[in-house]
Amino acid sequence: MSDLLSQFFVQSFNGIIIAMAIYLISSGLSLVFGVLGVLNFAHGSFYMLGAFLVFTFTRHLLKTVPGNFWLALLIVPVLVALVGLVVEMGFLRFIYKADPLYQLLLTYGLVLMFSDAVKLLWGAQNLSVLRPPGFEGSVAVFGHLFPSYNVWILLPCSLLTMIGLYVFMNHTAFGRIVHAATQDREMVGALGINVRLLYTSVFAIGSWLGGLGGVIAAPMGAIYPGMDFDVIIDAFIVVVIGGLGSMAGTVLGALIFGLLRSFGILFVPQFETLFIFLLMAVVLIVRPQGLLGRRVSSGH
Amino acid sequence: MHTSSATPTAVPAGAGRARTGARDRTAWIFVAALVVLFWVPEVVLTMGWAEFWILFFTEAFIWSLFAVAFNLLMGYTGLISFGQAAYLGIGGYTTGLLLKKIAGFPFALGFIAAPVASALAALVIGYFCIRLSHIYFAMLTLAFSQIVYFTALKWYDFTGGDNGLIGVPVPDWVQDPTFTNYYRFVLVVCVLGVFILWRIVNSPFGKTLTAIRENPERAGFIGINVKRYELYAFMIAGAFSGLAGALITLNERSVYPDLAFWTRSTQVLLMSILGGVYTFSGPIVGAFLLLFMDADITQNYPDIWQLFLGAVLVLILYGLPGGIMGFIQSRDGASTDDAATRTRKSMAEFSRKFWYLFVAMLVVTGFFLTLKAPAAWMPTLLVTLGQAVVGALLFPWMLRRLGTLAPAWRLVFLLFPVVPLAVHILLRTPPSGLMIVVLWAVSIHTQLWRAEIRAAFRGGHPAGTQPRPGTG
Repeated sequence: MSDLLSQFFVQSFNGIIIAMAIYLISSGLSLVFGVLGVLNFAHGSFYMLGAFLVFTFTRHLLKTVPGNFWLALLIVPVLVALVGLVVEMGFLRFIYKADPLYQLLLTYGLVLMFSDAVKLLWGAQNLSVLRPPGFEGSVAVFGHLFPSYNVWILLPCSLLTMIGLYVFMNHTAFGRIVHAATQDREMVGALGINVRLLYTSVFAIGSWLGGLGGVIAAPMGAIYPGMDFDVIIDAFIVVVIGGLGSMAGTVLGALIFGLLRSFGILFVPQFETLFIFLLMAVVLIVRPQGLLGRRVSSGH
Repeated sequence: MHTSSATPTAVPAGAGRARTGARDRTAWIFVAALVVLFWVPEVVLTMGWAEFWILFFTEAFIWSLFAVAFNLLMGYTGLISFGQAAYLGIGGYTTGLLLKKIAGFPFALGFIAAPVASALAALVIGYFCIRLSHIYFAMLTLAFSQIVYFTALKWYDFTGGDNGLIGVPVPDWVQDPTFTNYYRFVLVVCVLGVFILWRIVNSPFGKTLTAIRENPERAGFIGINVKRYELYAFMIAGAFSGLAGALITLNERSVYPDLAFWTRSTQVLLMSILGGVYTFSGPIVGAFLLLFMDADITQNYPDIWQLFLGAVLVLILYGLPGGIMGFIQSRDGASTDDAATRTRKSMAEFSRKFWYLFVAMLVVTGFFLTLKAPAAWMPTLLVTLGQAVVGALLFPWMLRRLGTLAPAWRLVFLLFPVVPLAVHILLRTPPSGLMIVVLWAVSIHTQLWRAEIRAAFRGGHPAGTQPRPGTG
């Protein structure tokens, strides 16, 4: 009995770890959709770019600098945000009035370009980033061993992001505008807010979050071209389940995603991905706006 | 020959109806295409060209059928599916499983079962999907197609998982050494399929679908059961996609889960967008172009196929929202040189956007040049920078002068930055180079034309916000 309970604990904890990793990526995607109304396919590319940049920083540029991972953690998301800035100002800005699906296609075009650009710059082979010194081993949580990186870096970073986003959205002037824009974009413009600037900055923040997700995820597994395609569909699932544009929904969606995946591996090892897509389909059918999303017209 | 009986059936189908002058002619185009394309293998073999071209055409026909079926949803009904590959996969696996698992299963039955199974799957899936709109519809179709994909991938006992279903038995006549028989079989099936789809979109049913695309509410008010029609369109698209899937299975004599992966859905989406979604022939043109560029570029630049594809997609979305065929068909009767309408304002607006495109093209040029000679990155950088400097100095002047020039000269001026790009791409990989240059020229021309129209009507949409034609 206690064996079952401990297994339950291990899987729950693993699920939370998966959830926190995917949350970092999905939060930016959801934020951008909420404000700009653009479902950004290229968000996965920002994640990949973050991961590859942290490789370059820790393995080449700052190879001998102590604490290079922490420096990269500060610098890389900002660099990715700058790329996001260029993407928004150079491409996305021109098509906000177009059909949302054309925006989706445009960002898909960017995904294709990014993925080959990354392949050209870093090569097609798998790369890896070392865990920062002091976090290579495991740590015991209630008698079970977990990678100390996951417990002491991933988890706090995600929680800090969660709290940070909450505070930002609810307790800062700019954040309130962003929050208002997720509720009613036209009204925000009508009230005299510079919408163009708002969109650009929100997109940059979204890319920053994507880059952060990439940096944090880099030491957890291999870095490879194509990780953008793998992660973006997962992020879509999370935001669709939680509710497109809903920040609380993204947390919930990520938790459901993580727990379903970790328990899925335990009970139906082959079909766990299938169940996640089934859940996504069921949520879309029963509650198209997502679990915590605002009501949308379900017709045309 | 198996195909001889199919030829006459296409002939009378368009005849014998009121007001069908244009239809009769198009029906003859189908017959002519069938007759001409029927002899392609003979020509290829006689001229001693590579058999690759027979295989290429076979694949292009199959993808054309798939793209036209998909476009019944996207272009004609206004439902943009991100999971059309599901029906490709269902069709492919139906034929593959029936022929492989049941010994002696009749070939014709196994083949026909594919569209039937896909249509049934589309009925069930579509029943849920059509309740949602826009992005949610796209996401739900994506979810269902991934369910199909993962079922095929993980159900080892039944589908063979990622090892695929290898060695699907096919009749002897499919397996001739020059692939000619199978080419002809595919040709006849695809021409017939496309012809049926063409009849569907030109029937009252098809016109109803267009009405729904234009304005679902209004269509509902005049008594059309919108959801039911959308479901029918979803089923028809599914059925023909399944047919295409069966043809792919027979072509490769095996099925892999990859057939239903979501990138296949985006590929067919790209084909439709490239060719033009608001025309019937657009997806066919798109399918041929995309497959041709694929073959050409993967041969010359295997690493940057996606980069190229992305650049073409972005260029099309900005410059040619109607696709290639949409552009060709919309040029008739458009007035382009009313000097009074060319205002400084519209040109300034245009020049800003053009500048972005120019910079983008410089980046692409740099990539191509660097790839051609990775060691000589320094000269490449200098050439690219030189172009940027020349462009930065010349462009504002050129664009100021543009309004005073004759249209033909304007085009010459605007083509200026393409020349260096064109030269080196033409030298290296001619067809695709030509392709990107033509796309560029056409999109410039469209931009210019659009800027004038905007100026003529004073205001309208700000630069680049091109609403999708057809949304009410």
